[in-house]
Amino acid sequence: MTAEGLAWIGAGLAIGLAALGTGIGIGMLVSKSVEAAARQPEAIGHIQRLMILGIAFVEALCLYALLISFLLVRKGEGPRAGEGPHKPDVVQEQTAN
Amino acid sequence: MEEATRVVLVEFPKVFGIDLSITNEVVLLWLGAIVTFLLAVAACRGREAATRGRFRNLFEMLVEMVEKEVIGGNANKATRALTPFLLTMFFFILVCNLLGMVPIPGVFKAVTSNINVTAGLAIAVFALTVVAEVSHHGVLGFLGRFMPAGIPRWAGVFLVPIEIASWLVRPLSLAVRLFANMVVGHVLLFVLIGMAVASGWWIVGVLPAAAAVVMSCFELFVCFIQAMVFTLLAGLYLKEAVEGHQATH
Repeated sequence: MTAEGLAWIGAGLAIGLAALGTGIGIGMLVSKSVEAAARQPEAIGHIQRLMILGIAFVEALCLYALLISFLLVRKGEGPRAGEGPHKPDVVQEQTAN
Repeated sequence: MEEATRVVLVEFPKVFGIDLSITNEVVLLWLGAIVTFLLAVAACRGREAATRGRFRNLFEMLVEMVEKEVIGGNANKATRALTPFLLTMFFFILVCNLLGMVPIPGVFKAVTSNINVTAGLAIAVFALTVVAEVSHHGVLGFLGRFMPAGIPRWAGVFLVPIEIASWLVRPLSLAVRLFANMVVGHVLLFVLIGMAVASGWWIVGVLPAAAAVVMSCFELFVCFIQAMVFTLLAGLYLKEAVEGHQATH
């Protein structure tokens, strides 16, 4: 249960759960837009534009989680050569006055 | 994945804490700008020619697509004046993304996979939206966008911070979307090709190699789509800034 091990687990969980939500979201989006295009084929241009816009927003949320996953992988790989482990900040002991 | 193919060509000392040394990313940015400029010049030459070549047609298709989707049909004059900015940004991002697909490892790299580059583009769009909105509606109109009409005053206490936060997160999301898409595409290709190379002479190494080919094609598509989405959203934000909040709803 080291910090690096937990970081690897966190990285996997982050992108896994994010992809779950994104898959559901984009699936609903595309299904509704295909339905609308089938009902009214002359509006396919508008619908396609709206669909691409919607997909961009939903996918951006998944990509934020992917970034977090990258940060956690960096933590999980541990310190590079030449660096020591992360030292906690030294807190000056206050003498009682 | 962590290897940074950052080749420093000319070393400069830090000026006010900013490292101004010329790396291969800086040269690729210049190359992207020069290629975009040459592309536009080559496409507009011979304007009155009766027969247009294939390249001219392709360029005009892209320009028309950006104009139709980004500006839309019902735009007023001020929004149309932003067309050159949006077209330039679209072609610059497209060229930078595509330059990253050239497979020479130390030399070519997608500069848009550097968060600083995408953040710079997003800050340019953000600054332009602020300037456009203030110059069209004044500072009071700009502040009034955080308080939509028809909301009771007591709800505004909760609504205004949310509106401000969602307004501030827009350039962030623009930058991160483009950056993450480019980084992920190239990381995936590295992983697949690494798997293919690590299989050695085993016949199973054909599978990741074939997947790498398919992912390269998909990556070309993603380059195009991400340039399109960046320009689309930038145009949407600019249109909303110029024409007011109700224009996009």
